[in-house]
Amino acid sequence: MSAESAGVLDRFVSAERRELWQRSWKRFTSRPMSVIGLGIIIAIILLAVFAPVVAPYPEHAGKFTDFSNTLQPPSLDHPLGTDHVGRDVLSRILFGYRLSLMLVGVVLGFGVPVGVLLGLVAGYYGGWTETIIMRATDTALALPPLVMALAITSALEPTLTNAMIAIAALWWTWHARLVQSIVASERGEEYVQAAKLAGASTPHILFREILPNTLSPILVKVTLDAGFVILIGAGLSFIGVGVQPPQPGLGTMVSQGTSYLPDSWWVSVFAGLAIFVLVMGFNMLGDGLRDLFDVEVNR
Amino acid sequence: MKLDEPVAENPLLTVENLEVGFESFDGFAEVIDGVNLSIGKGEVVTIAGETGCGKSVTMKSILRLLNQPPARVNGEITFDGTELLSLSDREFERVKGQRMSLVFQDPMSSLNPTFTIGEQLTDTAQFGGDSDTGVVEFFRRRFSGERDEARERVLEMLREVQMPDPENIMDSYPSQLSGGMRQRALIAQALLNEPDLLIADEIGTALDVTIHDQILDLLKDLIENHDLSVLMITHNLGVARQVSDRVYVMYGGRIVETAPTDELFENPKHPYTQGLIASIPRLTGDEMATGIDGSIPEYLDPPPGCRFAPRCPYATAECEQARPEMYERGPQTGVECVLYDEAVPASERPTVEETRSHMTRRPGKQTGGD
Amino acid sequence: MKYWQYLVRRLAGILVSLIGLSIIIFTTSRVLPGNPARMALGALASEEQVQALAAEMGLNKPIPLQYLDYMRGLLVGDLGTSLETKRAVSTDIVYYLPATLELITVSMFLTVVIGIPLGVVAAQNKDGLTDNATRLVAFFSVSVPGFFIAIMFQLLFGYLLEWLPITGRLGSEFGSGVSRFTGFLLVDTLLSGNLAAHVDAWAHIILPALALSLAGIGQVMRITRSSMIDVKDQDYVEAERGFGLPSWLVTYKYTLKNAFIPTLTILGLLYASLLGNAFLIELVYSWPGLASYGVTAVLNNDFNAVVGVTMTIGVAFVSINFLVDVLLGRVDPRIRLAMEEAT
Repeated sequence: MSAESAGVLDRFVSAERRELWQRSWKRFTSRPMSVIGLGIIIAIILLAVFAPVVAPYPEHAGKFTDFSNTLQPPSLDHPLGTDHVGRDVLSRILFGYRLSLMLVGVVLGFGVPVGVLLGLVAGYYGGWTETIIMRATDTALALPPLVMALAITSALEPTLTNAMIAIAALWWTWHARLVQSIVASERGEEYVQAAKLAGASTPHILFREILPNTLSPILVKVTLDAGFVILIGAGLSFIGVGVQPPQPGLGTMVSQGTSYLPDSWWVSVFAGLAIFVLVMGFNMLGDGLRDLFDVEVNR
Repeated sequence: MKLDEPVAENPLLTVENLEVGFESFDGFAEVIDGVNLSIGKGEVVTIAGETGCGKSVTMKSILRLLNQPPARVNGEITFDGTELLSLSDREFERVKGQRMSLVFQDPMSSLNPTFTIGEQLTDTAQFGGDSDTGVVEFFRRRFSGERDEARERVLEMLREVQMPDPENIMDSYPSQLSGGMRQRALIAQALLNEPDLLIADEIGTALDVTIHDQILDLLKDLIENHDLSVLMITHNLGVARQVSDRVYVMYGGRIVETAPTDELFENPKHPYTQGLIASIPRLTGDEMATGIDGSIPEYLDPPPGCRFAPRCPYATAECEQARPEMYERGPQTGVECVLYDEAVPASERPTVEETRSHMTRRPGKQTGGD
Repeated sequence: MKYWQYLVRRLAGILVSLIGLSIIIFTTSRVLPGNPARMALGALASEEQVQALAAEMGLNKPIPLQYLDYMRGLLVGDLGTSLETKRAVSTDIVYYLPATLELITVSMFLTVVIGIPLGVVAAQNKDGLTDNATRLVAFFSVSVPGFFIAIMFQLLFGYLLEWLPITGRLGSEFGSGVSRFTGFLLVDTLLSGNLAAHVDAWAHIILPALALSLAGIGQVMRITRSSMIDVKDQDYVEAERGFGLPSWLVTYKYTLKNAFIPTLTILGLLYASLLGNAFLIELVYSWPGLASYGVTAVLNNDFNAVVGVTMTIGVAFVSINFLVDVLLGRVDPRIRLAMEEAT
């Protein structure tokens, strides 16, 4: 860090806090696994964002067909081969990453704030509010997530958007439970009592006093969740109720490729590997963060 | 550095020049710095000191309970003529299992919560010290008449530690017992193998005062009846006074003073010992010392000389430079403080009262206020 | 509160969750796009026929009334008729469920017998080679999509090595030699006295079961490892070792039982992911189970079948979690006490 940027930072962040961050960063980087995980995620995000530029055949992302070029094995022109209508597998994987990351963004972007808010409210107020919110989460958790998402999607049109809605509608429950359990144990703590006695407003106590204490478990959970959401999304697409062809869903590609096994193995295998690498990246990062913050979070 | 210190007559256990360090992320911490101690046969010896003084690390090194690495243990530990540190793990486990017993600090955490008292204690009675028992052998003996004998022995021992309703206790889980009952169960378990050496870590301190006293009285009887040699670890000098024959006072990973118990309390020499004694609450006094100012040294970067020097009201430049020798060495005494150099006139040596006057005090009859 | 009272309360809570679940699933299944009556009859049926069937199916009533009708049926085991198979959904479920249960049971068994010992070994070699290897395997196994590993197994053991069959539950040559007693082929083949078929049933189940259990093996391994390490550092384990008990006894009796508690909790959760992932694995291996049936139902908007399958899985899932709670109470007296003290 240059002296100048440190100077700018000084205005916003106290020296102790900065030192804390530096120590955490040092501990974080001392674990190769988490750094590799972070590297994988950043690389894939960049590739996905710039897919139209970096993909060798960006036009292959959609309804393109080239029947003279179907099911070609990996070659210099098509490093990961071509699929059953002659599209470049590598290009489609890069665009497929866009859909996976979008799914993660939408599901967690909706699920986490809603879950955290409801968890805070349930944990802080207790009583009836808590009972109702927690009963709702129990109900959502009475089915394996994939089956729940499948059941909800089945009632709607089987599209990516609806799959997102189904998963997001489910996801808030985990975060609500996590936050509720933390808040329920924090609300008796002295600092909360002190804030109450000092006449702090409830929003202030919830968001300024209690929320910061839930941030590290939430961050760890979000990272681990990202991988899980990708797996569920890919599973739904594999079944045929998520991303619909000709869109390049990774799960959809694996599923389409199975018709051409074992001879044209590259479509299914590379699309599957693509999912695996991204999920692995999130899991490695999440595991590193879990050790860093020393929190107990189940996936 | 030569650090020969007083040795018990006819020793069962001697520890010579023990050094223990820990590797950590922030560097190497030298926690135990040349400790010598010994326990005679039939003797009850206490190591006393504040939390963090190294007494537990000393005990754990004797029992080989430290993970190495990060810990590094050097020195000589001799038990009844056998050098322990050079034994293989297997050989050591045998000596430990057959001849030593440990009673842990916390009776809450020292009994296995998912087995009944009877199950745990009977296994200890039947297989304790037989660490070589194989699976087949175990099941043969486990389901033979020997089990009933072992059970009888456990019941007898529970009666001896004055456990109420022992038959019933056998079928109870630890979580169903009170703290005092758990402590009794633990003591019974420790004595089932008829050890020669009993090591007791902060025994009873997790209990309330009346039960604590009962446990100490019980312990005194048991020591006598079973002819035990005992090493006690405590932060509470009162416990040391109640039970032990001799006391080692430990500070910053070193033994700073040792003396027979009565002598230590009548005539404490080291300023640290004086401070500890001065902070025992007095019922008669109208004021009470709150403890010695300052805190235990940082082991990563300890003071170069006497480790107590930064907190010592009598410290001189000399103290900060080099580790003091053991002075006033008698057969069972010694103090590691330059004030006891022969060149220092007796009149310049501090008394407990003088040390007390250097400590932060607060009025005895009022409460509150810092 | 007594332990059994706690269990009764838990059961009541489960019932509430299941009713909530049935409301959600039922409602979402009834706001289907398209008319189920039309779908049942096909494009050639007249509008009058469709209307008549819709009335017969009760589709003209408001949804709450339809729900009450459904629940009334449910109490006598009537889950309606599948639009796809034209059979009673309950009949279909009874027919397809055993295949799925068999698959899940074998997977669960593999998870336990592979995951727990590996976890114990990893804990005993903490930070050693075995430990790091199992850590990598665990990472791999929770990150790889189950359906993908299933396909890889097919490629490797089916196509490449030709060791094992890659679809179905039994070779066609055994079809006539095995009668259906329980629906569990591993049992039925034995009851039929057909040993060759029994071996063949194992050959068919091993790949899907292994693919299904992989993620769970990784998790069980890691949780067993970390709880073994936690428990190993407890005073009581040090004490037990200190009293000279045989070290295998301390590890497998006194440490493993305590370390098993978190593992048991994870096993309950795993059951959920097995039920979920079975949907994908059955698809890959053309396994004729409940999940395959459910996927077909979902893809064909066969709403009675969707509700029936979902509720069956919900019941299976909450029952397993209830069972895990009961087991936890048995294994750990502290948990039993905590349960008794709760509320």
